[in-house]
Amino acid sequence: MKIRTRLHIVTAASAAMVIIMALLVYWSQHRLAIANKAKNLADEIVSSVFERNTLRNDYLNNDNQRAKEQWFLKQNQLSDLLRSAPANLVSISDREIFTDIQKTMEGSSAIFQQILSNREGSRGGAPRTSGAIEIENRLVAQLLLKFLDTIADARKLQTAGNELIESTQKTAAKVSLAIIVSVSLFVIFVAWSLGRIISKGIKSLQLGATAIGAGNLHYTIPLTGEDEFSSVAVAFNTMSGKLAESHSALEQDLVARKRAANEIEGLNQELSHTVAQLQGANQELEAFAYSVSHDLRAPLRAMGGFSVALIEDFGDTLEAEARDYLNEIVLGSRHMGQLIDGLLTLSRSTRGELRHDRVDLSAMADRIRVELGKAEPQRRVTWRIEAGLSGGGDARMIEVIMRNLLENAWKYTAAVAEPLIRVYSELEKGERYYCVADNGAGFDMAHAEKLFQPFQRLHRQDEFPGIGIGLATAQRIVHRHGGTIHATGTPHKGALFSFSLPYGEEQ
Amino acid sequence: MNINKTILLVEDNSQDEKLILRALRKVNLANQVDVVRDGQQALDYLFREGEFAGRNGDDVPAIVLLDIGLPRVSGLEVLKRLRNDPRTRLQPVVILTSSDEERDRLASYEDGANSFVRKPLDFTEFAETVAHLGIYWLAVNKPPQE
Repeated sequence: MKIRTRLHIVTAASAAMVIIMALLVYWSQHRLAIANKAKNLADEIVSSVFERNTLRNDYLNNDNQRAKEQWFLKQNQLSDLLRSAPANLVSISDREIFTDIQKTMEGSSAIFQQILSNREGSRGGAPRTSGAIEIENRLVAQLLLKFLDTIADARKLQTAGNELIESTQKTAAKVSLAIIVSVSLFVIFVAWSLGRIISKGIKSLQLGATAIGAGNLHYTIPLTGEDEFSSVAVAFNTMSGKLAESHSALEQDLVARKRAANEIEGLNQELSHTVAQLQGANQELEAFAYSVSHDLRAPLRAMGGFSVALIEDFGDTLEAEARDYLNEIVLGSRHMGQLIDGLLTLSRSTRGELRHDRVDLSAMADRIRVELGKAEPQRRVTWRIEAGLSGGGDARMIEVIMRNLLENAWKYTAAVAEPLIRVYSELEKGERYYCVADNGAGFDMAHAEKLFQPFQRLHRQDEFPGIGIGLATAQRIVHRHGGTIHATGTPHKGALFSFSLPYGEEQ
Repeated sequence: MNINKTILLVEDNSQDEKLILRALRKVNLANQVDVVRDGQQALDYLFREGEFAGRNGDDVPAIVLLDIGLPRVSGLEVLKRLRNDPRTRLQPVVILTSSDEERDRLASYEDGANSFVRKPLDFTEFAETVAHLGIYWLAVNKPPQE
């Protein structure tokens, strides 16, 4: 049975008790009212009978006609009273008493009529005979008896009323007690059984919740039946089942994730291993390039040096062609020396920590301008260097960039009638670019990407000598500063190189 | 030029040695040059030990031209040993090397080199540089002890 049903039953029992108690009160009030009415009736009867008796005596003794009329009036009143009374009376004995009273009343009325007719018969002034008086006296005696009977009956009626009151009170008390006791016992029983059921249910649920909370997701709460706890237990079991399902799904997911994470970690390790290897290889390569270019210097010096020595010390005894060949060796050695120097610079530009300097690019450009002018004082070149150009980064490396770009501009304007070299800066998409522009030989944009590759040249040695390492070096340095370098050019019109230095701007 | 002073050349590269000697010969200084070919020999020469045990005690080189990359004992190690010995503490030493590493240059000065000269790649320049060095240290510079 459901707890709700049980609670409904308790409520209904309590309600029924209240209703029964109300009915009982109503019933007892009703009975008491009847009893009181009977008593009142008896009282009225007694008082009316006494009054009538007094009126009769008044009439008989004083021949008071008014008293006679009043006697009849009282008689009628009593009759009415008795006629209306039987509906209110319950017990049979009461009714019998009542009937007796009615009979007595009727009897006494008949007797009084006789007395009256006796008296009427003797009226006419003639004195009443002794026989008539005798008869009247007898009738009065009978009337007196009837009076006493009535009084006695009225007393009985009063007693019956009292008894009724008493019995009603007793019954009401007993019934109330019985109802209170039985209903209380019932309620106590139901409450006790409910408490048992509830505490058992809660205990089971608590055990289940604890078990599930501890991780035993396959625990089933052993509650069967039809009450709410069973429903909760069923719901609980369903929930723990679903939990177990999703838990196992989660676990699988977790395992998968862990595996994926392990894989990622493995890949990362592999990657960092590869990066370390690459870094190592790179460093090795740089060290190799450095030591190679370094170690190449001595034999090169020997080749060139001894060629020069041969020309200087034995030039006279050599044929012109032999001297020419030796000169070629000297030239070749010089060129190779420049290549090695370029390689060294390139290699150095990718090594070592970048410093953070504030660089006055205008002053730097001006210094290089003076140096270039001193090297070739016969050249007339117009320079326009924007004042206050300032950038951040590694000053020595930025000087390598500027030197390469300005030397190129200087070199490639050699054949121009009015050479012009400009150094300025401009903003492009919020980023500052430093520009070196010239009106020299320029280049074909189709070959622009070759410019920044080492040893790639767009001009022949006899046009413009060079080794093709300067721009590659400049680009590496710009890249190390997080920037970009662009070249634009038109053949015979000029070239423009612009670069940014974000690394320095950060500071 | 005829000056009665000695140059000690410590050079393991025989071609460089020849070029250096030729350059010095061009300025008439070749007769004053003693050549050793590694760091240990240089130390033996300067401390009159080993094969140089019988060398004349008064003959102190006016200048030591010291390469860095030397077999057995490196040039920087030689320099350190010279500076740590009271007999050679003041010995003028010029580092003459192919290296232009900042690291080597700083280490040389820290160890008490009197000068650091990079061997120019260009042989003409190289010859001129060596000649200048010889003239400067033998004719111009005043040594600590006469």
